[in-house]
Amino acid sequence: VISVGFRTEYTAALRQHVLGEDETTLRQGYELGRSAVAGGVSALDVAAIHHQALESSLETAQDRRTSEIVGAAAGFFQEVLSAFEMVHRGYGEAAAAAAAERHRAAMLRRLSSFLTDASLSARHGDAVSEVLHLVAEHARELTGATSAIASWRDGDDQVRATSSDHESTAADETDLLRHVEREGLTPTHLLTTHSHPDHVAGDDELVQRYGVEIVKGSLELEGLRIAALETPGHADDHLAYVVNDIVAFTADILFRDAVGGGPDVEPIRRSVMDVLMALPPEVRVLPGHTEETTIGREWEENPFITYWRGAAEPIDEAVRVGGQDATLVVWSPDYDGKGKALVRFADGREAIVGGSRVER
Amino acid sequence: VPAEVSLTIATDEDLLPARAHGRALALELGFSRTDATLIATAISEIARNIVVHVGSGEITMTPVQEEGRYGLVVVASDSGPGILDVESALAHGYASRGGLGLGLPGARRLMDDFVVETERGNGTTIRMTKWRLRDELELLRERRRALDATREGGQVSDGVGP
Repeated sequence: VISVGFRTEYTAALRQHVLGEDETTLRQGYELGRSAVAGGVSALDVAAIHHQALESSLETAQDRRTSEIVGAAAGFFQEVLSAFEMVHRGYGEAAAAAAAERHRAAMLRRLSSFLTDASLSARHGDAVSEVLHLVAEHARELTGATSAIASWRDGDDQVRATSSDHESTAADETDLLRHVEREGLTPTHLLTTHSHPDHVAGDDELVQRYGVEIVKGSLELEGLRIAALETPGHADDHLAYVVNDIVAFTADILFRDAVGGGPDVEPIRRSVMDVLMALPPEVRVLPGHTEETTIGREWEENPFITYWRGAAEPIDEAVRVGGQDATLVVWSPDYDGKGKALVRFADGREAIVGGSRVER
Repeated sequence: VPAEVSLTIATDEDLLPARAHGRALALELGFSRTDATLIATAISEIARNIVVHVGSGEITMTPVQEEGRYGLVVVASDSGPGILDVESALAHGYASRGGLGLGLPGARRLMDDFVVETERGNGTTIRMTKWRLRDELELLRERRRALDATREGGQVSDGVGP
């Protein structure tokens, strides 16, 4: 319900503003917008009231040009809407937080019902190691973690099963091969980013099967310009590949909301800030793990990058890392479900470590 | 770069010069009219906070230029009781209307950087900055040009291997 007072006040304030614009009349616009937000007046109603008030201002203006009045009224309307803008930005944040919370709750529910099933199944005599392996795999999938461990204890007996990323790499590879077969494609080159096991596993098989040439460096093919960018830090020999300036394969140096880990931060920072962030913001980024992103999105949102470019303050929280005292500088809660951190030790040495290694 | 402006905030009337100076500095620095409006709004929200919850304080507006970009830094300080739970004040505000996203959380969302320093019994200092958008884009383009130059210089490896 819009009070008659609001409409009258709005019309008077706008008329005053178009007669002689100054900070006093702009402030009135801001206050009106603020009271509309606080009073639950909808933006649509405010727009309608503004339109009526503008019409009435135009009618009573005698010798002034219409364009001047409309221009001045636009500035006033912007002031009114700034309070709506403030609140609207808050809704975006709240919605994102609620979505993350829902996701976490659904994950826990599924994990808990799965664990119940698994414990029943173990009681029915299935091989314990097999059940544990299923539990670990399922838990890793549900949480999106890089690895999960399930253990079972009976007195002094303990059985453990681990599920880790290497299996997911293998699964991805199977998907990739299925796609290749379905589309009737012939792979000719295999671009290697770095020599860590989860990034070269299965290479021999691909060479045998397709006779692909393993390449580590820039490559020009018909219609494809593939630039290899030296991006050391996570691994000494790490390369990122940029294809036709459109898409970047960043392997283990840049992820959505995180960067590659390593004991020496400076080369990682240089690779990310000086090499990858120099790419145009619209370039798609396909990391070696987790979801795709863009250069521009990471420039704006990635907590490591906002810290390095001075747009975010260090966290400065005392923590323990591997039994040593350290200061938490950057924390990315969203990466792979466990988080990732930049920490500084007492001697000034910095490191980027997985979230599970940080005791907060 | 225009000069810094410092104002005392003690009554509702003081919002007016604070808004006017903030807007004028922003426009002088080349901010868009929309951004100048958002800056004036953020200043109003923190000034109102001082008037309503503390009584009096000071707002200083300083144009800054660093690494080739322009920004406006607004520092609001008071010697009031301090904010007991900053996290909650920033998330929900500490007035009943704050829950809507006005007040401190509202100001935070309109600016690019927002830092609160507070101590029980020792006042509060809020430091918030807005950067001129076009500078951020220009910085990206510059680095892009530098990279192109490096590439043409033949520094891209072809065949680095373990």
